[in-house]
Amino acid sequence: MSPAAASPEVMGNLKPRRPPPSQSPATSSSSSSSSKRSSEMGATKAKRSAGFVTRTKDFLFVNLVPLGTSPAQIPTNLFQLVIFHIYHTVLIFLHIILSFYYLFARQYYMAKNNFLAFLYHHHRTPQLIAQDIKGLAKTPQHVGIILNYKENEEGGGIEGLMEQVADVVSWSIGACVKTLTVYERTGKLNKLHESTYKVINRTLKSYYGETIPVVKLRTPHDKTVYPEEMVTEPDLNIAFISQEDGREFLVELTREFAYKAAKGEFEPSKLTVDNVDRLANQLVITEPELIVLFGPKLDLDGFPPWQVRLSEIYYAPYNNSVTYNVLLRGIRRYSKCKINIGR
Amino acid sequence: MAITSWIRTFPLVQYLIAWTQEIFMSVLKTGPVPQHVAFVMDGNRRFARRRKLEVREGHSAGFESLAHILEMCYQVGIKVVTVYAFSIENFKRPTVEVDALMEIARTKLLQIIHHGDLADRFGISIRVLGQRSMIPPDVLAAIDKSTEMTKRNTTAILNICFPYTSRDDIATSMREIVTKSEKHELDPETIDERLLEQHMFTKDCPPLDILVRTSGVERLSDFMLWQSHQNCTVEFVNCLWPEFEPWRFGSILLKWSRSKAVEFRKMEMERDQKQL
Repeated sequence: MSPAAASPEVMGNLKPRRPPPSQSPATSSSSSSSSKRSSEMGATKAKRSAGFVTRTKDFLFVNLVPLGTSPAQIPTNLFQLVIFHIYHTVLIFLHIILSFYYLFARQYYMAKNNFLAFLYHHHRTPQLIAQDIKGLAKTPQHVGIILNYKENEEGGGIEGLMEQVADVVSWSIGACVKTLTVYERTGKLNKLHESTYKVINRTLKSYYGETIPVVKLRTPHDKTVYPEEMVTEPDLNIAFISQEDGREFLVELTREFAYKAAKGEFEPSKLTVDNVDRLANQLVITEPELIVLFGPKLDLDGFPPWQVRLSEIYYAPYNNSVTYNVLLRGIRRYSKCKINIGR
Repeated sequence: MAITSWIRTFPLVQYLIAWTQEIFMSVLKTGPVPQHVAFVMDGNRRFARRRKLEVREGHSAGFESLAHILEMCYQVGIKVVTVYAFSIENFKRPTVEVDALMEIARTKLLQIIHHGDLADRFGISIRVLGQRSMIPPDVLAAIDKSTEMTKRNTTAILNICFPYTSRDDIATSMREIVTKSEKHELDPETIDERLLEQHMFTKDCPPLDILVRTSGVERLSDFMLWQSHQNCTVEFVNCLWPEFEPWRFGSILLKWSRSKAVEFRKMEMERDQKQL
């Protein structure tokens, strides 16, 4: 992320380089397909030498431009090459300016995050959380959060994830949320209900004292529930989902119906939006009203596409931790109430 | 606002702006360029209300804005532009408004393909994505005419989503695959993400790189859900669509270009390390 990251590309770097593998076939014919050309090389000498010249040219021009240049832009003669590099120098200059801008923006947003974290703190008291959301026109019933698994970092690892979930659970119960969906791309917590449950209860104890709220854990992908027997209705339903519940779920569904249809047991016209929606609600999760990202930028990271339809998406720029004020700001955004400071 | 429009009345200023834009685009072109950009053109009605104009005029202003953006896409070399024109849900609006929107769609489509206008100038081939069965016949005729007339243009593609929802797109794709399987045209074992994508409306488009939604609403609203939920930059812009000026789009492109350049740089460094 350093400003100089893109800069040494400027001129005359003769190291062998290949254009990106994702070239579109339509435009590559003009310059870079030397392998195709080599196969076309005919028997006559003239043809062979011409092939050699174009191949050398291809090599030079393809390798004199930075990686990631679109094939249509690869220069074909010396004049174009010079012009290309003049423009490219300007582009690198703009990138560097942008990097400096990011540097300042980062400071600004981090200061703002810290200030808000100081101003709105839960102090492990549910009454304070209730006060923070009091007077909002509406609060979300179903909140989805996107967590990022971090390895080798302070507050990272599986334990770190569990702590984060436990924190968000405590805040959500305070904010009258009924369903919480925890999305983590790799599904690290999907099979760890028991230990997660323990961590959640320990955290809840520090918020609510002895009579702690009841939570229920669920992993739709494995169809597992914890605790298996509930005496009372839970205060908060928690669903753990991962990338497998997104596109893969829809693919699995299609495959299942395709098998049935091949045997003549299913009428394809029954596969309507409503029916798929019903199945997605039953088998995975319903649509969250609010999705809060605890990452530094807007990236849904593979959250189930079917379920993000109308969800309000909230993220705090440059924030990289799971904090109460980000969730609170998300809920406020959802309710259309503006926070008085800052925005 | 008043000052900028006053400055624009000076001689040569318009020319200077256009020239700067062209240079800027040539500069951007030398870096990574997105292949596919999608827009939710939100805020035409609010724009009209705020300026005390008729709704129709708001939509016209939005169309002007689209023309500007298309010009920029053409200059920078973006292959596919997808715009959300009308949602299936919009049929729930009052009949008068739906009719008005249909009329606007018809006239604008005919305007785009009018000789020497947008489509010709930028070499755009127009496609309309969505449920054809819900479109009134006169609009359908205009759509068929415009697709037919522009199908030989190859520089870029303009996808107009009309009437479209992403859920409908996904469900339709699933239904088509299941129907094929019922006729034993394909083996259910071969069904995967790629196959689903190949049956969606955006089947022959490159993957979506940037999705822009204007008017400060931070929702996807059933648009390009499958295409945008991973490996895609989503930008929520806090201005109405008719006010979505070229510099805003330019800055989005520059940001994207920088992040990609950094990515490529990392890739290159990793490869160099492997070679060592």
